[in-house]
Amino acid sequence: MPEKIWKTVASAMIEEFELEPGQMVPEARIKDDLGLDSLDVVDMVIVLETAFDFKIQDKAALKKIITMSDVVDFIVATMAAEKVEAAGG
Amino acid sequence: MAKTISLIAANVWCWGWLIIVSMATLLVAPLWLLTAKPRGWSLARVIREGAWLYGWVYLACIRPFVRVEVVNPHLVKEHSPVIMAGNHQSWLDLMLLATQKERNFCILVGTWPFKRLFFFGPLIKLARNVTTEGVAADEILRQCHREVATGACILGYPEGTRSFDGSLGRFHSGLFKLAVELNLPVVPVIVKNSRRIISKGSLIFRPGCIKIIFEPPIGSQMFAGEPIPHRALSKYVRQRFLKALTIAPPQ
Repeated sequence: MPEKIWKTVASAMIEEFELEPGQMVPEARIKDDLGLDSLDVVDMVIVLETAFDFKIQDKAALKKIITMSDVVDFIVATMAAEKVEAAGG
Repeated sequence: MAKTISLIAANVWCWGWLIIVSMATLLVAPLWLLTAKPRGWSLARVIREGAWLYGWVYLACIRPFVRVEVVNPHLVKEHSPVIMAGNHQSWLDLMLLATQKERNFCILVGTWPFKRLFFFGPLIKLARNVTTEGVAADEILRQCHREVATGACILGYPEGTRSFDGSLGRFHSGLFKLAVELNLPVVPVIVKNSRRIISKGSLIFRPGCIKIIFEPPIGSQMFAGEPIPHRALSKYVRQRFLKALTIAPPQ
């Protein structure tokens, strides 16, 4: 797992959703363990967009996110897609 | 020994009055509901008024053991309609709303908490309180908008549940999203000490004093420039709670 991305995600989540640093483990489930509700998940998209300075296009993919580890994987995939798009365009 | 006697007396008194006031309500409720038409009120409005009165009578009855100190009881009525955001420590918190003057408010709840209450459960449901679990955000907004249009305030507990240890839990931002969408100010309703009177999961009343503070309203458009305005509002309101709750509770 990319350390830099993990740190950015974790600190954004702690800051925005008033979570404890101890809760930030890769296997933590967003809803069940961190207590985020559906509105929080919508807000999480904006938080991630702000933290990584990109626009999340594939909103449907967000529904597959269950754990913190999934969030990081999603960010990695989105950044890779952005790079490909930038190179192609 | 004196402490034990006082504790027993408090419990006999507080539970006894809860039964008496509830039974009286049960008897009077049908007649009370009939007053809706002559007053030109909706059934929901009459039930809300009745619920307020129920709380007021009960708090008056238990006053020998449970005193309530209120700060700014007229504030909500003066600024109505508003969104009231309260911290939640005890089932008494709902009754404490009878210490302020606005009687027309609907409650925003996650899961319906009154399922097991014989008679009162369905009655409270008729008061058009808004349940959020499994309901689309647009529908919640529509229902709240409808209630606000009739002049009602909205009450919610952003922690989502009662606190076990009295600490302030994480705030869910749904209530603040509503405030922003409906362009309504938020009134923080800070309750101190209700957990010490009767805490979550406990059946024991402890004599004492509760303090309830209605803080000046916070404009919901204050954070319009923020990336997520309702989250900024939620954080700001939570800070107000934290600041107020750090002051030592009354003994």
